Amino acid sequence: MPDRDLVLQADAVHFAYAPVHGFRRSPARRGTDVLHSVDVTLRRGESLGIMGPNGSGKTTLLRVLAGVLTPREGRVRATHRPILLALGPALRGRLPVRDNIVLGLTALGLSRSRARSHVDDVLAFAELNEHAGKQLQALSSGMHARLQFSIATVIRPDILLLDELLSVGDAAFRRKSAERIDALRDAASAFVLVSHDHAAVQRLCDRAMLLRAGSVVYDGPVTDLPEQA
Amino acid sequence: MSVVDDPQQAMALHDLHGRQSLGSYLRAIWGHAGFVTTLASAYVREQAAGRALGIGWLLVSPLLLTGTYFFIFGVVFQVDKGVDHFIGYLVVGVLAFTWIIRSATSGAKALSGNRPLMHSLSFPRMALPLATAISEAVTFGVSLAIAALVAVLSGTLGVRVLAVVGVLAVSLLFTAGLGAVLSLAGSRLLDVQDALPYLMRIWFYFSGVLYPRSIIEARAPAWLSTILFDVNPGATITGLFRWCFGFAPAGDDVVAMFLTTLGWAVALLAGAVVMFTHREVNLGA
Repeated sequence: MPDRDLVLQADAVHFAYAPVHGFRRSPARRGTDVLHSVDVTLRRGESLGIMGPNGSGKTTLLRVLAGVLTPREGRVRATHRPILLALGPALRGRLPVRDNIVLGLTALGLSRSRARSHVDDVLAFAELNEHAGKQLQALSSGMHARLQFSIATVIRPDILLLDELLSVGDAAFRRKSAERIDALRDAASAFVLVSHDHAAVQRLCDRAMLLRAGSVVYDGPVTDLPEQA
Repeated sequence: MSVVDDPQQAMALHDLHGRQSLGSYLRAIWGHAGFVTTLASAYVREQAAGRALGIGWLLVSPLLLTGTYFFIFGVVFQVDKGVDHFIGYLVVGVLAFTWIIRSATSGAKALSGNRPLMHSLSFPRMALPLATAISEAVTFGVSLAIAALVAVLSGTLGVRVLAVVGVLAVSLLFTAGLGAVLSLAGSRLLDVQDALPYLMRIWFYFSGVLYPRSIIEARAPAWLSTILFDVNPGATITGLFRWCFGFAPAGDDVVAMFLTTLGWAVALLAGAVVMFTHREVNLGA
């Protein structure tokens, strides 16, 4: 009997970053294993927080769940393609902020006309109206992060994946960005957050997963998440 | 972007890393047309950003290049026998073939140079070489102002210049297909990017860019000139642009050149789409 509430399922996922040499992969060129037999199950309405120390494979797992990295073994299935809100590499430092907004939104799948219609909203939310014509590389890192957040959170994905997009800007901006994240999470069928922030995971997620060296060492209610996570 | 198109099956789980059908891959590319054109536009404007001459370099650079070739091959070696307007012949040939070279070399880096982007966002990977091809076509389109100026000065500009739009379109299909195929090779084997400038230079010298067909016909068997000038897409593309600006030598068969270019374009582009549907899932590892 199929589980009708299932929206995403990853079975026994192994992943290794392969060296980019040669036409064929040989065992000697398998690369370093980052994920070992990881299972993830997400049901409708669930929100999962993935935690773990640096290098434990959190971001890699998120990218495998998003379908942008292909597992060496195992498979990932979903009802809809999960959307990872990570825009950094899509933006171009020598282009004006306004053009980067259109570029970022089209990279997320919006048409050019729809992307253009969101430019003013994004500038207003990021509080960067007066910087719209400046090159992106002229912005401070804080402004850059605010812009990325404001672009990435325009879309409303069915399965939402977030990687450390929360600690952005000053206290006032963090407040309104938290409200936007809440709205995104509520609108999505399922939500996955990768974070080092224990409090954020406790607030936003009802389930938590703890990774160590590419393996799952805890998967259960967020309230029972070990303190040292 | 939904994994499935049929709402009745929207609840079913679908393999995120499964191979896509040709149709669904083409629809995915079409769905990202906005991203392709925006990225292409970004590439063009980045070339001008931070430079005193700005977009003027798109004109100055080919002008310097053709000036150098004219001095060496027109003045020093005098290979202009049998060509009425050798400067125009040379300018248009160099501009068109430089476009092919740039499309191939930048296409080869289109995937390997965007690995962080591919590891972050989900989109059909063929969008990257397509954006590169369009940006190179725009740059080439701007540089055609030089060809038009030389044609005006030579008195060869006529109504056939209107055909440049169609020739540009079919040649873009060719450069897009070539760049897409090379992007896959370049993403897997970085040596491709190292070898390509030399291979392209050899192709350049064997495509009649700097000398007319009569030079080869006088020194080599007929089959060789057929391969170099009638089958070679580098020669047919440069030949078509020369015809548009009135610099084609007498006897050039423009219909045959167009059909040959179209054949290469369709074969390369179709091959590239098929290869991407097979290799797409492996590009993310």
